Amino acid sequence: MKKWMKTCISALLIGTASLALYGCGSDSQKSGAAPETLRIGVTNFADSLEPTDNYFAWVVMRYGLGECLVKFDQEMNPVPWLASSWSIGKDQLTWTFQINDRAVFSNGNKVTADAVKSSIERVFEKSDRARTFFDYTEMKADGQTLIIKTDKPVPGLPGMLADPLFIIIDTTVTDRDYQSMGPICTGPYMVKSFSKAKAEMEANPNYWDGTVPFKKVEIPSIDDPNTRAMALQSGEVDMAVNISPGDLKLFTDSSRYRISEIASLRTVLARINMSPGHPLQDPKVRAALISSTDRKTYCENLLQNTFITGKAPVPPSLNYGFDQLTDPNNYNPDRARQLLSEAGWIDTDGDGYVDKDGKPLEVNFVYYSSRAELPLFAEATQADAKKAGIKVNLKNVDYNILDSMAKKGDYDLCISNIITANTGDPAVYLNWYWKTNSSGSNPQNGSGFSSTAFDTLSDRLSQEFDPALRRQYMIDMQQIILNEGAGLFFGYPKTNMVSSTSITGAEILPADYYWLTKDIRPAKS
Amino acid sequence: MWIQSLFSYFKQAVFTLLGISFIMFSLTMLSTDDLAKQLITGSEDIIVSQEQIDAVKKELGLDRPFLVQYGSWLFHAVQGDFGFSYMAKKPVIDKILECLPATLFLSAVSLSMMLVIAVPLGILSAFKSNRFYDYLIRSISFLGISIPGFWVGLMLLWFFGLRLGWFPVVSSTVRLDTVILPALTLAVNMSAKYTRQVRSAVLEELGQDYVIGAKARGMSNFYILWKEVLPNALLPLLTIFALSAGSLLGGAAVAEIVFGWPGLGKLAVNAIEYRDFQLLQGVVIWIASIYMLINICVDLSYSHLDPRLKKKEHSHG
Repeated sequence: MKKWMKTCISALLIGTASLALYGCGSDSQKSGAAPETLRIGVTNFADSLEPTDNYFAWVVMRYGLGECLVKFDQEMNPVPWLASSWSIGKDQLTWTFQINDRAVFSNGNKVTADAVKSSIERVFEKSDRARTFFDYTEMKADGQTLIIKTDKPVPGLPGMLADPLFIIIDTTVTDRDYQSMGPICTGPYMVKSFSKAKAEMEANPNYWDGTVPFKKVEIPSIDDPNTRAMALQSGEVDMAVNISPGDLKLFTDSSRYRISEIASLRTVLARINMSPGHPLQDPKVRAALISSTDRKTYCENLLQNTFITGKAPVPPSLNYGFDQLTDPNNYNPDRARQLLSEAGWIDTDGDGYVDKDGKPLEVNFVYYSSRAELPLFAEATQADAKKAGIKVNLKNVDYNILDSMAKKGDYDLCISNIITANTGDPAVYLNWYWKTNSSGSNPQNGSGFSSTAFDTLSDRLSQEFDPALRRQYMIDMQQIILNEGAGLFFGYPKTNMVSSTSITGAEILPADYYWLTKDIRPAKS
Repeated sequence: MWIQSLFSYFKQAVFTLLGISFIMFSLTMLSTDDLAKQLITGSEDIIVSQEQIDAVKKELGLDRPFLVQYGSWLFHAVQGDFGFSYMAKKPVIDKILECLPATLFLSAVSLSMMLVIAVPLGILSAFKSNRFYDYLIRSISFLGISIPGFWVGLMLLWFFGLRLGWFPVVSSTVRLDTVILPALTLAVNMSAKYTRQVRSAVLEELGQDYVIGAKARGMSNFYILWKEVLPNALLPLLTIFALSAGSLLGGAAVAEIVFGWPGLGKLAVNAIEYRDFQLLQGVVIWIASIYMLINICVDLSYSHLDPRLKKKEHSHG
């Protein structure tokens, strides 16, 4: 008996030790690896590198493979990339782009206006999404000059061409598997191998815009945020995108790590239904509800500073007057109670909730829980509103159901976490949610909000090319929304990139597709 | 007789698969008020126009009546075409086959680990019944059952990956060194259950007269265990083993997500996240098929392993 027990235990010990030794001896990709290799921990949603499929072009750009004519700077202003300059003609329909004379594809072919034209034409041919940005009536190429004519004024066209969908590719290469190798592009890196789980990139020997710092880049997809953080701690990756807020404190040692963190382009807001028959139709009740919510505490304490406190529709990461906008409905529970009283809502039966004509003030708050912060904001609103005497009924639904409920106006409050400016300015977002919906003219606005002043500004905006004036219109539109209490703006999620101090230049930008860039370099070079 | 049984199992399998596919299809379509939008945007909250949504609905045939959609899917599925994954932009069968090797490898390693851990411990526990080792092993197995898989995974990562540096933290590439921690994560929970099953099966056999007789004849414990007890205890253990194998071959979502292992479990979760109903349908059919195949194998192996069952079948026949 003792003999076989010993045999079993010995076998187990030998097995465990062998596994451990195997692990030690294997290529565990620690920080001691060759310095010419960069490793990045990310989450990847794309199965293919065909840029016209789904949102896969984002990954083509995130992995340093593709570039557009235009890119966004830190304040989401469009700045030159493959195009060195652009201008709009007097007819406000003719755009002229000057293609950078130095730009070449990774196969050495020159990026001419004709190549750009053919790349853009391919996008329109293969993707339904292209026409949601703009439509063109004519495109002409002459040397390095590209002319795009539109049928109606499109003031934001340069910003639209910064969307990764419009990555410039060499369409003359036809014998290539775009799904696994990606197209021939102009970025600093090229694909060596790609799967959803892991990508290996190598330096583009023909890169046109300076030297490529790393010979090789490995990009494993690590979906679990805790694992991503551990991979960075263990040195298996040199940088990681979007470390979870709870794990950020692991990287506060500035001698070893660098955290780059900003407010993203997202806003978490609750649309407010002010259609006839809904309790929030009364502006005083709306103002009371907004005033009762302590959004600073939600963002700083409840969500541990992972959000910037909300105020306006457009987040502060965009240069659209966040600081100059005033919210008349700042947190003020006394004012909330006072406003309700002025509107005739008083707690007559002593149940803690105000009532009028025998009916309590009840508000239905629709939310979805696939984004972890949304239930928290909803529950916090419910608790704060109760203090003011408003009963908030929470309704958890699937995101798709929420979307159709929002369009039908089947809510009093309806929460979303939305990207506000994926084409550089927030005009689309402001119009879709708040421009008057007259007999289905704007189906996204199911809230019943209608303002002549807002619509006038929106119409001017659609014709205006002057960036300063466009900015001012959008600031004024936001102020109208705030004055009318036409939305409850909870906060703006932060996004981050954490890197080891062995590298430099890892900066997170508001646009969520500039991850691997030529600016990320070894610290000692 | 053997062919008759096989035919009967096959009939059952076909009806079960039909039922599963219909229920699955109905549930998917019920929960898709605006499936097309989710398919376009994935997990991103991006404004999408009605025209885009209508185009996708038309492209995928979502505007047709439910039964027509199901019938069309079934017609193609029986020919091996499970449709096209909108999320991956690939045929569903290609995507499943892409993830299958990783799942098979992880399953094989974790089942081997489970056997290496659970069988010796279960036997030891039975032989030392109601003594210190038995209490210790039972307590540990109770703990193993109670601890959630993701926590075990994270702790293993932290200890063996981060603190000791023995294994890589990231397992997105399928290799022998990357499989160890995810396999161990799965093996911990399965071993805990299996140890208790081994213990009770062995304990039951140890109390049988033939064991007492063998001991009286002076046979060694080792001989009694290998030649007498284990063959008799094998039958109930085989069922549990088969269930574990079936569940692993369907993918181990939690471990796969924690370690970034590119298997079927992670694929299924992604398909749900992106409402890629054709891919989800394909994965579910795979899981159901593998469960049934394993059960058929186990049922058929019973009569081979236990001649008494074969005799019973003959006498009933």
